[in-house]
Amino acid sequence: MAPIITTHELTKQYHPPKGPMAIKEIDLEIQEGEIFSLLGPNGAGKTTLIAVLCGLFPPTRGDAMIAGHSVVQNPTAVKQIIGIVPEEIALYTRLTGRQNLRYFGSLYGLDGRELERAIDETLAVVGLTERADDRVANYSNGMKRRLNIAAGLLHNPRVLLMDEPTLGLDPENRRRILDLVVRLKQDHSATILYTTHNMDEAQELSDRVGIIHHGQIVALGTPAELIQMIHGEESLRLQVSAVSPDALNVLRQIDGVEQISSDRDTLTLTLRSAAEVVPEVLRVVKEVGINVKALTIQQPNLEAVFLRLTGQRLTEAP
Amino acid sequence: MTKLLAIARHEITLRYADPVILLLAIALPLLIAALVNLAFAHVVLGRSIPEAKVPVGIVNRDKGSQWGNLGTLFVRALTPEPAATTLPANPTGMLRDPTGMLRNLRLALFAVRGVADETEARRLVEREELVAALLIPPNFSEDLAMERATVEVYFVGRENVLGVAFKNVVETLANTISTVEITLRMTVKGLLSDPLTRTELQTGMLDDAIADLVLTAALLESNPIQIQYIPSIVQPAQVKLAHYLAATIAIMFVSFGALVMSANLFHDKAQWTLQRTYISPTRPVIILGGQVLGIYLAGLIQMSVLVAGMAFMEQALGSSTADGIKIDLLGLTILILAVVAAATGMGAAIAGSAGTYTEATNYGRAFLVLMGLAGGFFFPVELFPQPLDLLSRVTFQYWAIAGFTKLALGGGITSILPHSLILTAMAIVFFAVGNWLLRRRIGFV
Repeated sequence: MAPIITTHELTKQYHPPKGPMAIKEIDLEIQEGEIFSLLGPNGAGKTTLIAVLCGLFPPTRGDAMIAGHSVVQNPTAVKQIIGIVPEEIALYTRLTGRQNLRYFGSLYGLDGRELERAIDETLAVVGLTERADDRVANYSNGMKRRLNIAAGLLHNPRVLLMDEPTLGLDPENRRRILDLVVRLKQDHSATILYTTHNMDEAQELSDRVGIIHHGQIVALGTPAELIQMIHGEESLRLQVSAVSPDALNVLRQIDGVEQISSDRDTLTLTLRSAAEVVPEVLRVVKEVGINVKALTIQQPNLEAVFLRLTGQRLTEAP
Repeated sequence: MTKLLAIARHEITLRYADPVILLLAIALPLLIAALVNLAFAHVVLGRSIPEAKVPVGIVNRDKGSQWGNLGTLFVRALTPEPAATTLPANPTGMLRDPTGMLRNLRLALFAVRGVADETEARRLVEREELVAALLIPPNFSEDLAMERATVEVYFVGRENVLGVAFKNVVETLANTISTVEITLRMTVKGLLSDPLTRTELQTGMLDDAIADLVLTAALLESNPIQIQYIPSIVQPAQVKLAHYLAATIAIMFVSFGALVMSANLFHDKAQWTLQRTYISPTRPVIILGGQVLGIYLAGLIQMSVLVAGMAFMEQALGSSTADGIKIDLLGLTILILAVVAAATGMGAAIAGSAGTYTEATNYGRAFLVLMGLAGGFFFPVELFPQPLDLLSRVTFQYWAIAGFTKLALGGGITSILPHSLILTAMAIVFFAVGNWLLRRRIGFV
């Protein structure tokens, strides 16, 4: 497959030269028809990368090519090819769902019957046909998220940029969105760049995942390849009342403990082999007087990869 | 073009999709106007206090006589030229306004202008471009020699205080001129026949003596010049207070609306709908143009509905009076176009200065009220002391309300053309400033 998105040293600094560096020299290749997830915590640079790719801000340095068009040289051509589903529910709540789609569709040059047909088809895809003429203010959060996606799909884009599309949703609505994303790939052959800080989503949906931290891609590959990077390390999560720095140092000395991170009342230990190390960990925990309320052992996953690569959990970073 | 219109239509739809906005933008001002109408239906605004000088006209058709053109004495006495501060010499070359009376009569109150013919002068008075006109007939000098001359002072309305004042000035002036002339003819003739006074006459020392004669002779009953007062059948044009306030209410609410729509850009940015618009394959200039057009058209709709609604309401309340004034619809249309443009530009400038939706709507409204106050929304700017009076001219509200007042007084397109041009120029300046500020504030526009 040929890459449909290529970035070369893509860099964005806000208010240069002293402003924060949002993304740093990102080199990426995303193949046509794949779902590529950018996994990273809030503030890692995911939304900035999306904003640069869709031409909202010019990059400070570097360039990105989407379907052969440069986002720097020819942003209008790029905009015609991509669809965007922003993290925010970018809809006019005073208007109906259909009025919203009519407006956004007209911005892509759709009008008349073509526009109405596109609206009907898109509403059917996201399952909102029956509520199309209700005001968005009266929609549930899940319906708003689905309409938010519909607005990005209207012009049948070759590339869909989805920024945290399940943010704030309950499990049932989240499931509907994830199923919708899979269908978009299968039925519409769309290339999807999907950003999330949710490890499960990235692992479930993605053909490939890029882990982004402090504006840089720190790892790239299929979920299986990334998990392989940590050699099957498992995580032991302890819910505790309080931990002193001395106690943490003692735990770090245990053979088989690769890494420890502490987040308020949770201790996460990366272990070479849970079966071998957990008994020793529990013995030391008791010895140093740590009060354990709950204990979880997790199989290797992308969160463990992130933890291993950055020393931070996805929820606590940056 | 399709996208531009689509964006403009979207802005209008957004504006009026919310029933609360409809209530605030249309129903509330109409309600206020209705209450104002009920309270002040029959209150008429007083005649304008003169801004500088009261405009009056003189038509001098006097053909003159052997004593010269005595009609010009009126003209020169009233004309505010430095060279005419003294009476011109009469044919004997001796009269020099000995008492200073004529000079004092030419009050700073009046700005006198020459008018070609009587018809034009009467028309100007009826259109209120002149407060009064002095009409001097062709045979004035000859009749004066016969001591039965007549001049006419034409003004509108018996209660026209300024017109009456001008008539009194002319009356006094007529007394003086006629007395001086007649006295001069008799006295000089007598003095010339007396060889004892010939030297004094030649050295010009008779001024005091002549002045005494003038004063004693300047009696109304002995004046050969009769002032003819002809009241016009045309009723004076007046502006009802309710109309004045209705116009200010409409302008104020349209300004608020334009401000809120401009400030909505910040709201749209926070909601990401603005970004969503800008990341579509639509050129930024089209987006910006469509948004401005939408705001402008929404303002026009609001203003038109308010004007029509207020007119309808006045009819319904039965307070519409047949005062003879027909509003010039073309003039009204042109003025509305200009007023809404200025309000739109001002809204953009205020929103750009504020930087956030909350600041723009809260401080912006307060600023608009303040500007409205300075522009004469709540009481006439003529009541302000001089520097503040001038300050009002920099507010678009002043030109807007002055334009509406002109139309209410029966003025046509030409009378509001300066107002419309100034408002349009203000709109361009405001919009340029607003556009620059908004682009800086929003960042990606």
